[in-house]
Amino acid sequence: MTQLPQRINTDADTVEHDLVRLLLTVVELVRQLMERQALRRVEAGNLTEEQTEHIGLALMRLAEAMDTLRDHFGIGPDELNLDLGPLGPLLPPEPARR
Amino acid sequence: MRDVALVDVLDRLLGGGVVISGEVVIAIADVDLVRISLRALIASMDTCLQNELADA
Amino acid sequence: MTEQATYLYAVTGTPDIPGLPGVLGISGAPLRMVGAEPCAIVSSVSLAEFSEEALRRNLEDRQWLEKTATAHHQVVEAVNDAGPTAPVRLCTVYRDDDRVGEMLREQADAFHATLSRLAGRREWGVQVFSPAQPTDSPQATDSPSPGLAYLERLRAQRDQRADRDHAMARQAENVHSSMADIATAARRYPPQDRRLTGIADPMILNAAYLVDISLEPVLAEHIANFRRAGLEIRLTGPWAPYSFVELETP
Repeated sequence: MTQLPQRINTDADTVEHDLVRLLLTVVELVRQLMERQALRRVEAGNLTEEQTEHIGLALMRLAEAMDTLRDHFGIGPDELNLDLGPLGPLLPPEPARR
Repeated sequence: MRDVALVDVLDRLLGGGVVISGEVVIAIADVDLVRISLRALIASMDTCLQNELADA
Repeated sequence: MTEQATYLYAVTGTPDIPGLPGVLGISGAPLRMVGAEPCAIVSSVSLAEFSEEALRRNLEDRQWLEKTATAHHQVVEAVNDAGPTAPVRLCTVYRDDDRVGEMLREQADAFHATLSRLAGRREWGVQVFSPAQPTDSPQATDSPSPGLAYLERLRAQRDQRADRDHAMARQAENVHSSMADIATAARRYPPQDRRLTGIADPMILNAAYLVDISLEPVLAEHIANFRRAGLEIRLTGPWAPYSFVELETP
């Protein structure tokens, strides 16, 4: 049985990959901002231990979900970033994790 | 000529040097330096590099 | 024939520049001198290439920028080899040589003051890099309160990063003060974008120092000491004094 040649539509793949990367970058930015905000709230000291545990767990799961999403799309942690020209990159140059 | 990096030359030629006002036809301040887009520079650097690799 | 204009590269104290005939200007044009003391080094360029609109395009064209900056730089260095020279900013264009002559007469005193300030001194570039250190990442562990544990690790990571940033900033300041102490003038530039340098480590100091030639061994010693202490330092130069030619009224 002859095999049909696989047509690789690189243009569409690249565009989709870039869109995913863009989307995940924005999500990652929000995630990092949320972590910073949560730390500030926790340090402000007006949360119960239960609330603090809850926030910590939520952030931990968010971090894991982000790892899973990135792995699924084959995107490395360093690849999530947006170039804002003279303003520099959107995310801090050092990856937050790993 | 001494081997110098373009980025170091550009720091000095775009950020340094005498700035002479008065009757000039054009001086770089007129062109609004902020508009020099790093993205364009980097994009064209990547193209140059790819071309070099292709030729090699 | 396209309309021509006069491109100004530098102003120097003396018109006696042995190396000059061997140097070509932008687009391979021959160089000319205007004035005597001070003396301007110029060449003709096409107005089409150097109109405001054309420049907006050309300045974003990496090949044009490299070609033009390199030509300009080579002229400046050749002139500076012969004596104190005030490099002029990129893309300074006059209608004709006469206007350049007028400018020289108007600014003669200012140039004399600047050029005498530069005599016997050279510019050196110093860049300091912060070594990339991975921070520990919060990992899931067995803990009765995994959420609290995660937050604790986030906090530790943030504090570690802040401490490291402060430590690096202090080191950059140490290098800067040591250099500034032996220099007659210092100037800081913004750190260069890593995408342009190709160096992954963040640049935490990008500075230029005007140093008496007699003190260059001390400069070299300082750099060697900092490197022995483990700092990643890049020294460039000697340069023509691009960073130290703000025209002052005497």
